Amino acid sequence: MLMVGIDLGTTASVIAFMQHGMPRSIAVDVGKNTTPSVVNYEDSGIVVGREAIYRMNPSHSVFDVKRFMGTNRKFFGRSPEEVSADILSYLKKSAEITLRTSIDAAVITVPAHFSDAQRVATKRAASIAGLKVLRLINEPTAAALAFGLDKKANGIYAVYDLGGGTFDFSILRLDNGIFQVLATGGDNYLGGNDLDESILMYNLSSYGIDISQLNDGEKMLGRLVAKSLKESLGNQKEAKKNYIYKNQNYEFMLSDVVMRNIAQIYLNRTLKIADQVFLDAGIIPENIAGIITVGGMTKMPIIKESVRHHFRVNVMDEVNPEEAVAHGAAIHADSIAFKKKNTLLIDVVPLTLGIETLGGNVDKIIHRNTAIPILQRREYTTHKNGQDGIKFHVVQGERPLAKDCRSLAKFELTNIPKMSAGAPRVVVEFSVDVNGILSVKASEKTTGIAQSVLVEPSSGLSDEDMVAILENAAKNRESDALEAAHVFLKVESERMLNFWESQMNEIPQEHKKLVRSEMDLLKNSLELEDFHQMAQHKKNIEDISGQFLDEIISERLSRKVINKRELA
Amino acid sequence: MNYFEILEIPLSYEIDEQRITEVYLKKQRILHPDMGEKSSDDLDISLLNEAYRVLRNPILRAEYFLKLQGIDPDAIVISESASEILSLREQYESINSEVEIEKFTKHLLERKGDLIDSLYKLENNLEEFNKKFTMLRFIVSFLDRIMPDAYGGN
Repeated sequence: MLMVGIDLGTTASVIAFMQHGMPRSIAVDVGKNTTPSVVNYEDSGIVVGREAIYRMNPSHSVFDVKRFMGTNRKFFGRSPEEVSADILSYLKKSAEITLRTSIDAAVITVPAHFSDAQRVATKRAASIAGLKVLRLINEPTAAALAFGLDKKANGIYAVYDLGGGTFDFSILRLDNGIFQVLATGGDNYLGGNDLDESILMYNLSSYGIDISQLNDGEKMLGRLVAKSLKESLGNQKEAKKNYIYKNQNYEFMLSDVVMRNIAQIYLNRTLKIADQVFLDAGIIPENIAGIITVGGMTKMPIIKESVRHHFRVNVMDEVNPEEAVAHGAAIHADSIAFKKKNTLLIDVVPLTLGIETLGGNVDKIIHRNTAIPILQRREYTTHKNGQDGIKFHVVQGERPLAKDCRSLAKFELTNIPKMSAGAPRVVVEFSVDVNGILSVKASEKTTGIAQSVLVEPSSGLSDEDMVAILENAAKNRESDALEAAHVFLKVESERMLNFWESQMNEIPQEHKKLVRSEMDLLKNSLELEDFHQMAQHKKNIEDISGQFLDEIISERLSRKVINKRELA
Repeated sequence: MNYFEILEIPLSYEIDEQRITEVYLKKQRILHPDMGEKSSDDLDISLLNEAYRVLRNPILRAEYFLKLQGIDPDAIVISESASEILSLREQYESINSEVEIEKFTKHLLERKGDLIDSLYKLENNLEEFNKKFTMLRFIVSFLDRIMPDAYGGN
């Protein structure tokens, strides 16, 4: 049994564990530490990761599902929780095979700025995947944990976390193993994906095409081409890729200068948020020891330069921007599971929680940046004689009017004894637990009538849906963990054989022979049901293909034509 | 226990921030659910977190400081501040450019800073303290209203 840390990212996910007191990522996707958060629902089964990108098609692929957590959007009939559960399940099962042990519990990271509904949805995704959630922790806090433990750092630090889909900025005090978040802020819709879309729009417009003319599939492909343009800029001043649209070839290009101009727009938004977080924390930039950068986007030199220039502080990029968050989660999983007392995380509520009052204003009950766990009470009363019920609307956000905030839940306290207006004393209790999840209780003091409300997201899955999904998931999960691992290994091996069989021509010549012979050995072990050999040869194929898969994915994207039939 | 007692400092508007942080973290090590030596009450940790939040914030601290001494900041009528408030409102309403908004915001921020500074000198004169605080609170709510929300709509 093993406790792991999982960074369930918008574009990529990482699973890590503690080995000899140090966090280590588990290579689960063709021998690589990061797994693209892409899921294909094909007739033959569910495919996750690099292979899903390789076989991507708008008629079965789901990208960026994290952006839809806590909403009721459906993907091929599946909720965002279910799609996320498929990613988690893939990480879990693949890691179980790699490490030859079962994984039952995890610390999962979420953007610090995630709302209550998004956190609840993440927790649900984990239970659908059969993972016990030890804790949800905030991504920048996890990154600070990985950094602080490694460097034995003390002092005040900021974390600048710009990933594929979200931006977070947190200021923390590191004090001999305590990680105290002073303030946090962010934007759940700001990340590398937005940059990719801008690059796509820029290129389309140079050919007089408006992005609104593209259908979903053409956009999906276009963004991937834009992303690969962005990534290849690292080593050169200018990059070119082909994009096929309506059976015509367009040459997309991106220069360093254009990239900088586009990135600057997004950068300015992040810096504005960061300025506000400094104000909230009551700290000025010159008093911090440094800014730790994490998230895939911070690999771009322009980001580090701008952050350094704006705040005039040390930028610390020693942590691996893609794996630090999962490493922090693994450290925390280990510390919770073994009740270690050497580290302590003190995190905060990212967004103000309140109740709508008469006239549509918000009565703020728990203010943003209050440390958790926290419990606050507020007293309300009736405003009409003989009124026997009070309706409550729980909202989250900074705006003064309830209609501009996010609605979390609505409930009514009923059976209040009829009294004159203003006589009943209704106490509403808000409490936010260490996972950052809110629960609300209301009771009438003079009579003791009470009502507990678990704040369920106003949108998303209903309780009945959830029960049905969980029952179904449990049914599909074999009771015996070893047997389950074997079944998964067999299915994955067969899928892998079919896949490379069909893609034999794409394999670079120098690897072909080796892949072929490993495939024969894998086939042989499948026939013999030799699971030890099966795992070994599957891994060998992954390691070999890991050397060229990214390259052929990028090559294939430039050639890919999505025809009308596939889009239907 | 009041917040000053919880964080083990004397009742005073002026606080030793380093000291309260030390006490706060020391108590966190005992009360936080993850440290769980003794099963702590949710209420204890909530009170500690709230005490730290209020005392670290100069405006919340001023309000709490007054309340502890039996003065309800809501109750006071401030004839002296009335003219300043009116004039600020008028200024705000006559604004018609981005530059003017920026200038006005800057003025409010400066006024806020000055008022906070003046509180430190008035902690033995609660009546004056209260007047300054009422003005300060008006400025803060005014700022809240005109400063574009850094977070946008959520």
